[in-house]
Amino acid sequence: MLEVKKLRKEYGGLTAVNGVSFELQPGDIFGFIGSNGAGKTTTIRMISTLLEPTSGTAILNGHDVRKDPMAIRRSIGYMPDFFGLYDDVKVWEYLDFFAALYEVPARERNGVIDNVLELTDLTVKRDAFVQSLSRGMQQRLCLARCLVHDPALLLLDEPASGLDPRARSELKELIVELGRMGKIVIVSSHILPELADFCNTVGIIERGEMLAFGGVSEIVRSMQPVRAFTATLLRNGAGAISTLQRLSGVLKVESIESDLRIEFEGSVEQQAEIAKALVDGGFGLLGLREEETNLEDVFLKLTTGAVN
Amino acid sequence: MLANWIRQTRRTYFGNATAQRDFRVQLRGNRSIIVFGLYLAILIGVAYLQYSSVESQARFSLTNIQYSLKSFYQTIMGLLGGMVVLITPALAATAVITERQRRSLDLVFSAPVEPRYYLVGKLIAVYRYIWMLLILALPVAAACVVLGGSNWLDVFTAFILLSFHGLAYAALGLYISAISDKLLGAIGRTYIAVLLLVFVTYVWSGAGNTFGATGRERSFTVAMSPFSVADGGNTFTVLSGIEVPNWILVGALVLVFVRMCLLGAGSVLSDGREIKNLRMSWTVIFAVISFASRLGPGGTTFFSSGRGPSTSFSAQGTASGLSLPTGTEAGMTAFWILFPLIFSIFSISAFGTDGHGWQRPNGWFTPKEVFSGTPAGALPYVLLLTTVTFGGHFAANLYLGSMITLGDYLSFYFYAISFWSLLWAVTRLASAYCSGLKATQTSGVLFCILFLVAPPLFFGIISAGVDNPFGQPIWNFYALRPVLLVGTETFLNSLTYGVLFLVVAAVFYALSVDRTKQMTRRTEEDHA
Repeated sequence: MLEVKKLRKEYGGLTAVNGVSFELQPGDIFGFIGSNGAGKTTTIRMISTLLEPTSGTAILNGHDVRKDPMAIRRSIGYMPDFFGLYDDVKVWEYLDFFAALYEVPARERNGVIDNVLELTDLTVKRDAFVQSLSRGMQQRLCLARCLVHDPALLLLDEPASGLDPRARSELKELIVELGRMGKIVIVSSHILPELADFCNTVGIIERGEMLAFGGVSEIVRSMQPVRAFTATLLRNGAGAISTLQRLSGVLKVESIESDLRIEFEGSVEQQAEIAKALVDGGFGLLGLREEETNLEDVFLKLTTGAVN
Repeated sequence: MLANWIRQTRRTYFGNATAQRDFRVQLRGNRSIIVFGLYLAILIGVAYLQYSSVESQARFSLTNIQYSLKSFYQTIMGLLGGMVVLITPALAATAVITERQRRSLDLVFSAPVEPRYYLVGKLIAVYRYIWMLLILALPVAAACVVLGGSNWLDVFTAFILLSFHGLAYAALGLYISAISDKLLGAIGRTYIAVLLLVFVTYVWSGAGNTFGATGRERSFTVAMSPFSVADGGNTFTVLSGIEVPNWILVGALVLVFVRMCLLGAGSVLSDGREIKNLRMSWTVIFAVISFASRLGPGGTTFFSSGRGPSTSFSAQGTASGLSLPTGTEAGMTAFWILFPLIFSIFSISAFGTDGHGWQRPNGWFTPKEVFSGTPAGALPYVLLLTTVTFGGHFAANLYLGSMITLGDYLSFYFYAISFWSLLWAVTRLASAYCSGLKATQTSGVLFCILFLVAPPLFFGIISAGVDNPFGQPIWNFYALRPVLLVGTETFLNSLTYGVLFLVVAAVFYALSVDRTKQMTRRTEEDHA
């Protein structure tokens, strides 16, 4: 389990991260959303022990980043938003180097390298030089590097940036697979659609402060007390509008071409009354659907785009 | 805990992943073949030219031949020394900075790796490379033995010494690489620092040859230059009646030097977490050097008569006949032992922001912060270094039963404290008014140039051509006058200068207080 408690980081007069807290369980895939400069990378670097927090801490499986950074490092795989690959080394040598840094016993390294290459679909590139790989492959190699020591937590900072759609899709599948393996995965990005698809938890950060945290649907619901429905009727008209306006919970009804747009704030029982009234009124109800608010809408609603 | 330490140490020095990776890359591709080829071609070419010269000498006399063969061996070893001086800095200076520019350092330090592991790995890779160069030169060195210019023991000790020198330059290069932002800057600074070190050790080596004992018993300083390994390699120093080979003494010094360079680099790479280790080590080193300067191979203080640089003062006549009280000698020696602190006093004492760094002015004198690296611990740390240096030298004198005049000695101690306090106060003032740490440090260096470097040049011009130029009254305005062996030094001098320094330091500090408060308040408001 990962507990992040009031993490704060100051650079001179600048507060890059201000009291960020959240908690994640094994198997969680956490989408860390924020504009460029919002504090995502700083938070991730503090969790990965590369930056010392000004105050607050993060605890991974009982190990504190401030008190026991080495134990934390053994339990995390950190992939920054750049590759940082070495020239003049082969793929297996690169992984062998990091396996050695992570204290994987020498006799087990070959097996570990084969496994992570298979997982990241790079087995055929085992003996290729790192600089000869495509960008997507280099990204997968970076992920393979993060996995050589079987970490409990993966910190992936903007992992999909610069990748083509196929490479993104492959990376997404890989991350979902890692979540299934019981790892906690933190993925930061400012590209929302790529996160909404596969993250079960998200956090929205702006100017170093966590504005929202929770499940995707939970956050969307909390951000949308007033819901909107679109009713498609066979016989649209003033009668339907006045019928709906009499129902409790209905705030506003307006006609948009052949449809009615209904703004509603009430219980599910009251919601059921809408369909019933339209059917009973003989308006010829062809369809009734809720307008979906997506993560992008929530993000735009919550944030102002300001950076520190 | 011990088992863990043994495991970590074994992991660091044997099978270090960084060393293996670096060494593999160094030897990969055509580059290494070209370097080795060129290296051998130069060696063989010079050896051939030198040997041709020996052959031409052979017609004259046996003495000439012996001399020529010895000279042949010296040339080959000098050439190897030159190679070490040229190649090692290039390898070391690029080691950390290229990783920083490639941004692979973050990847390494997100693994359970201490800076020590990483830096030792880099050092091992360079050291292995040096040994490869030396082993490649073995056939040429063997020719010297076969021809009679030297023996195998000479070659062995010379190679060991060259590898030590290479190790020292590599460590220096790694330190500079760790503190640099740009590759070319790192390479340039490393070469400047290494050449400076080569120059200083060459002078020491020359002094050791000139003033040391003759034969194989020589001052260990003769082995401190890469260009004197042919002569200084197979020599020894007598310590407490035991003949200690000089290559062992030089090796010990190099290891201390390497440790300090790596700790310095480590404190940069670890975001200051190694700074406590670094400061404690410097404290011990200053204490030991100051103790050993009285007891060590020199066997005397720098300013007394007998072996050592003091003879040169007498030879120049400047100090000839000057009878210094022993407290003054000891005080001057202790002051100069600590003087290299000038290279870091401004880094130690500065506060302010720079890039991602923020040294908060957390007070002016907090003894418990002495090893923490914060501005509040700067003055306590400087005072501690002054105290251990003077204390170490005093203890050595007590141990030897030398009666030193305590009043004189304490007056120099007071002078030293005042001198460093003044530089500390200058840094505080500069920190309060400059926009960042780098600007502060630059201001400090400028102050040093104006305060310490420019006056002797100016006074030298003014007093040139007169009898006893250093006895001219104008030299009384020079801040280091009490610790220079010129003119007549008095008990009053060091005390007077000390009081003056303290007054100026107090004024500077007072001037910085308000401005520091303003700066801190503004920063806190920004946070709020």
